Amino acid sequence: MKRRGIIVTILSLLLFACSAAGGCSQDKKNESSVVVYTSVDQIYAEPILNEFEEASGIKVQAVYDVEAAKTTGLVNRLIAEKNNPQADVFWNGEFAQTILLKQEGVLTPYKSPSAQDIPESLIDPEGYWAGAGGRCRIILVNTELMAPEDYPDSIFDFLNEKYPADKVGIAYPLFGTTATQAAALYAYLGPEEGKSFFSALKDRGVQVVDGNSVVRDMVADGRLMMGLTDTDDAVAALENGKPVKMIFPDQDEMGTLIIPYTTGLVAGGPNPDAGQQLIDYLLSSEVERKIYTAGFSQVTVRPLGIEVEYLPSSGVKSMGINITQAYEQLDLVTEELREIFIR
Amino acid sequence: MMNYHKGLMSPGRLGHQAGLIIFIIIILLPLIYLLVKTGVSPSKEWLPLLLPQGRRLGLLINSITMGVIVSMLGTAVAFLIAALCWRWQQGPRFYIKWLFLLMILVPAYIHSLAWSTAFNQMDFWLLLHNLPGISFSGWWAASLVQLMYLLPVAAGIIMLGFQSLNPILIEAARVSVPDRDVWIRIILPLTYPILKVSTGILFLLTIVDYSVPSLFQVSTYAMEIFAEFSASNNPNRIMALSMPLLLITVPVMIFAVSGLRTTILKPEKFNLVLKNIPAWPQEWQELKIIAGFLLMLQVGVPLLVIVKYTGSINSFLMAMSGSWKEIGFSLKVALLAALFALPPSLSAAKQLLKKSKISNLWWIITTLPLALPAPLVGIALIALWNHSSTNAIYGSMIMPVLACLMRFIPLTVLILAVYIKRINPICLEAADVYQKNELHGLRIFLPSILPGLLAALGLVFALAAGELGATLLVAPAGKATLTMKIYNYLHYGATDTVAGLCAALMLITFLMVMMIVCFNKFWSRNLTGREEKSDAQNY
Repeated sequence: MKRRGIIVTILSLLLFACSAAGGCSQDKKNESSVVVYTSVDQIYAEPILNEFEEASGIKVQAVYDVEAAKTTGLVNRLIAEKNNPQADVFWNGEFAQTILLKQEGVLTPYKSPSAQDIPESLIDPEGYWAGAGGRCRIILVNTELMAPEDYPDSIFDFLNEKYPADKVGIAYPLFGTTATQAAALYAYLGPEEGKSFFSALKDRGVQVVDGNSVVRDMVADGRLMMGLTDTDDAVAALENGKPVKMIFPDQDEMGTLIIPYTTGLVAGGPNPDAGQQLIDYLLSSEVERKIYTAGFSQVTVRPLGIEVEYLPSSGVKSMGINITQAYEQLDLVTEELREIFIR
Repeated sequence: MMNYHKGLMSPGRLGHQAGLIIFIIIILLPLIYLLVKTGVSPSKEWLPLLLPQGRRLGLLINSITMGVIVSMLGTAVAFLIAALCWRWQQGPRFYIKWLFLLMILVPAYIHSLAWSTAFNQMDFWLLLHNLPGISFSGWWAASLVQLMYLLPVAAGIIMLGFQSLNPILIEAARVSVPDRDVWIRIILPLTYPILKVSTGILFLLTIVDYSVPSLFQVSTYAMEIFAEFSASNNPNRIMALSMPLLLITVPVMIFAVSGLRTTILKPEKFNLVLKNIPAWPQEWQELKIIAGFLLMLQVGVPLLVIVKYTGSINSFLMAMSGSWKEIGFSLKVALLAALFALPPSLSAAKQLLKKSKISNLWWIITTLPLALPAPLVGIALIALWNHSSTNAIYGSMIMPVLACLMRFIPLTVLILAVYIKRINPICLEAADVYQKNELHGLRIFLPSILPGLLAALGLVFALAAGELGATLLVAPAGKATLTMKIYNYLHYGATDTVAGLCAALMLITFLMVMMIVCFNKFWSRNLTGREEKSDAQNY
């Protein structure tokens, strides 16, 4: 009897397993559904996608990226799936990987009516992508470890001996928005000066850690007195009551790098019409407002008439670097900085 | 008398062949596909990737050094802990043992955070008392965190080795020599092959990981692979760049399992259980204290951080209530991976034990996936399965299951090989003679290795529940595992939610593994009872 019981248990488990596997097959080609791959943090993206689902009646199936994958995640998935696309929309938290996808032939042009009031600099001339909102690359300082008069005001202060190197940190400038910032610096300063800056950081012994969220955590915990990170990371620390302050660097001269989120329609995606509707929604001022108030984006491309307590009242002076110019430096940046930082 | 291996192969020969085909489809086909892709479009650019020089050679040396440090130290510490836990068969300590083994589910980042916090506190205290502080960074910090993170894996393997020791040898030795000599002259030499396996697997898991070293600013070859992947987005280049790692890990694994094949796997009398486990010798009490202390630290430091950040039961319940979808999906994926891993692993394990000209090749094939970076596994699976003709598979939960299978099947094959070798060949021969058909023969074979099947089931379930790198690339749209959610929230900085979700993941897996352990205990007791009854009747 006991043996029969065991056989029944095993068969039940197998039956459950088979039914679970069968029942999970997604209906990819469905008029009332859309598949979106997004590197915008799930905590910000999910409510927006849910609202789109409710408003449009189109079911949204999302795949979220994680920072730990170091940009080897969804972008590589999209490239690998190019011959049989599974996604309809790519919603990226920054711009460099979107431009890469255009070059890899993953995206198809779509000029969204929602992009009409977006500045031209944030729209691909051929219509492959468009951007809105914006996160800033800021310096996060620990207010318990630093007096206000000692706060840095430029990213070049990371080379200042006044700040102990082991208490200053950046993420690896080979991945994510730190790589984008490095590319922007190369474009602004010129490749030689850009490289010198990062070489000096490395020679000085500045802490180079695994990601922007790690920089944020280390500053918040007091393991670092200051670090370079994104505003969305910083806002999360502020909202969690951590003793930190955001410094928008280089407001007198160079300006702060602002990184918009971008959207692109996947070529040959299973639900192009629904994909276009989702892009229209993501680029709308309504979403820009929502994402701004939620804390993912700290700069808007349209006047929305809202203020966020953590931002300077005078606004943020942008670095003034063209997105494409920065992207063009990316290959050189990753090649050179790999030699500097991974050794 | 029939040949042992012939007997071994008899039950379910057809099933065995089918299992081997599935094993090859799961493990080899995606890799062959990528290799063919690399081979048919060779490029001169890739040659320097195959032969690391200069900076890359330095990184490879870094990786090997870290691998050697972590694997040697880790195995030594794991041996002490496994020896300590060996006697913990019931009561609260039995559950502590399993809690320790399940610490592998806690993400490496949480271990890093916990140890950094602990050392920061210590540093603060030292400075307060005008003592020199401790800088928790660099090689020693990375090695310590990596070691603590992987300790449950090594200890689990060694515990399995203790289980496969021949009780007759130990009981006989205990009659004539003191326990100290039993440990030195019997147990240590007999477990030496499994210590080699543990060292090999730790070495391998360390050199393919970039996350912990990079947290402490130690550059490794695995980081170079990820940087290359990010820069080029070209899987063929990654395959080429991974070759030096494969060339190191494959011989290491062959060496590691070589002893296992000749020593510990000798068939033992089925179902003998060591009832009186040798005590720690009196003069080794310091080691016992060290082992207990390290176990306490390994479990306590990350758990304290999880409890501290989770805050309260309410926070924990809130974290769970917002994640039922992910919990359900994780459970399904982990359970499917665990169940589907068994049939092909069984066939592959039998094949490993067959003496043939290509047996070494089977060992290489089996250990190969352990050396592959997780995203490469994901890319290989996409390349193989993402076609219009296979959309039904590609868009389903089968893909993350396949990813987990490809990554973790080698471990289940090794576990099952240990157990198959322990089957009393007489039982199989008798089954071969009296079986009505092949399926009937399985009624002898499968129950004989039930503890091994359950161990493999539990291991794959636990590892699949925590898998990220490959699952992220193949998870169907609209579905996410709990681990994917944990890493997503980690980025957001919701440490309380992350801690709550980690606790949930551990709790679920703990319950699942406990069910398996109880089932195994019930089965063993039932079997022992029946054998004793049968012996009494014969007598």
